[in-house]
Amino acid sequence: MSKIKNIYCFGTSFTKGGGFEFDINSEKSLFDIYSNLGEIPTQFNFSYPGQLQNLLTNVDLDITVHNFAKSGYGNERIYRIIWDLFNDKNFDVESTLFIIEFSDIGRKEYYYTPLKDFIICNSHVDNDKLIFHGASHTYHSTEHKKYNELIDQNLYELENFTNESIELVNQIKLALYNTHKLLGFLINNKSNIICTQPPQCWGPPDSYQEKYHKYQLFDEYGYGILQYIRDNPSQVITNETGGSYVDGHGGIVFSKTISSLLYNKMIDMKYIDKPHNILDFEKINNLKNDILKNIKSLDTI
Amino acid sequence: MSINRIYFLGKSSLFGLDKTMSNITMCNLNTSTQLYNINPSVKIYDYTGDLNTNDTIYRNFYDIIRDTKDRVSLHESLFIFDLKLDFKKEYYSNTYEQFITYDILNHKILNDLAELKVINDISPLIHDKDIFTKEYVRDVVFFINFLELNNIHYLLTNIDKSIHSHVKDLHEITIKNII
Repeated sequence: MSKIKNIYCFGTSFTKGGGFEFDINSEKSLFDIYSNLGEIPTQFNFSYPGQLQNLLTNVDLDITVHNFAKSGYGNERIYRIIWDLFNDKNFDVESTLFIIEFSDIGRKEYYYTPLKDFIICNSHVDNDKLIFHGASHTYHSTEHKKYNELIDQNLYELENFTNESIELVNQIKLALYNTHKLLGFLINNKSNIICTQPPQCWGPPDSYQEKYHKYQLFDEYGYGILQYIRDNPSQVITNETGGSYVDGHGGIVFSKTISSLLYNKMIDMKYIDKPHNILDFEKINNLKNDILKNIKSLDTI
Repeated sequence: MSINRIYFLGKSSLFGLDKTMSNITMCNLNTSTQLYNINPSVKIYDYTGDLNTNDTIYRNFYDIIRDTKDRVSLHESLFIFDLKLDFKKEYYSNTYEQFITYDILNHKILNDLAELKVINDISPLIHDKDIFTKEYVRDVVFFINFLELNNIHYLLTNIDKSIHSHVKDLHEITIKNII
C-alpha cells in the first residue's frame, strides 16, 4: 500500500534522461550500444524517473511517475509547473510526491509571445560574468524545429537583452530567494518532497535551509546528483560506453543507482511501505559488461 | 513578545506615508494591535520607494533577513508589505549598473534614465499581461507561505483580491487603516 499515487519529477537534462534521445537520434549506434539489456529504448526508461517507475511497478505499487524535466531548462519551469499542478482541480497533495532537481543559475525562462509558450535562454559564467550562449523552445527535437526557427528570428534581441539584464550576483540571489519561496510553499502545504539536487546557489546552511535538509536525497548538505556524477565518473555515458558514445550525462548505471536511492528514500520518508531495495552490484557489473560487449561486436562489424 | 522593529517594504502607497511612531500607533492598527503587541519605542525601518516593484520588495526582504551583520530578530519584527499588482518588473541593467523599473504595459523604463534599446526591442516579445498576472499571484502565494512557515510576522496591503482564493486568513490591512 502507498499513500503516493503520482510522482512528479522536475529538473534538467540529468533528470530528463539527457543523452538518451532515442526518438530523435538517427545514429544507429545509440540503439546498438544499449541493445539486449532488457531495457525498452526510450528516454523515459533510461532516465532515473523511468527506472524508479520500474522499481515501483515491480513491487506492485500503483504509482505513476511523470517526468516534467526538460533539457536546458531551469528552476523557473519548476515553479511554473508546480503552481499549475496545485491549481488543477484534480490535484491532491497527500497522494503526490515531488522529486526536484534544482538547476544551476544561467537559465532564464521567458514567455515568448510569438510562440505563446515559454522558451529558455541559457548563459554560462565567464570571468564572473554571465554570457548568453543560446535560446530554445526544446533542445534535441526535430518536432520543434519550427519553434526554434521562430526564436532564431529574434535571437539577436534575446542575446542583447539577456546580456544586458542578467548579472551573476543578482542571479544567484534571485535563485536563492525563489527556491526558498517554492520550498516554503511546498512544505507549508505539507507536500511530499525529495530533492535530488539542492539549489547550488545556497551556500552555507542557514536557519531557513536547515528546514529543507531532510528532503535531500543524499545526507551530505548541498550534495546532489551533479556531485554524485562528478564523484562517480565511470557512470557518465562517455565512460560507460568506453568512449564510443560521447555524452556527459549519467548513463543507465547512474539511472539505476539514483532510482534505487530514491526508492529507499521514499521508504525512509514513509511515502511507501516496502522493504529497502538492495542494489544488485553483480547485475550492475553484468550490465556494464553487456554494454561493452555490444560495443565490441559493433567494432567487429 | 512585543514588536520592536517594523519594516515597511513597498511602493507608492507606502512611500509617501509618514512613518513616525505617532502615526504608526494611530494606524488604528486595528488588525495589527490585535495581532501584535507593538512596543511604543518601536524602531521603524523604511524600505519603500516610488519605483519599487514586487521584485524589489522580495529582494529587500531577503537582504534584511539574511543580513549577517545586523542579524534581525524575527520574532520581534513586523514586516508590512505593499504587494500591489502593478505590471512593473525590476531588471538589473549592466549598462547603468543599477536596478531599473520597467512598465511592461507601456514598454517603458520608469527611472530617470535614457531608454535602453535592448529592452524596448524585446519587451513586446517577452511580456504578456495575463502571464504577468499569473506569476504575480503565484509569487505572492509562495511568499506568504514562506513567511508563515518561518513564523515571520507580517501584514499585507494592496493585495490583489485573487490572492484570497489561494490563502486562508490573510494578515491584511488597508492603507486607510494605517494612516
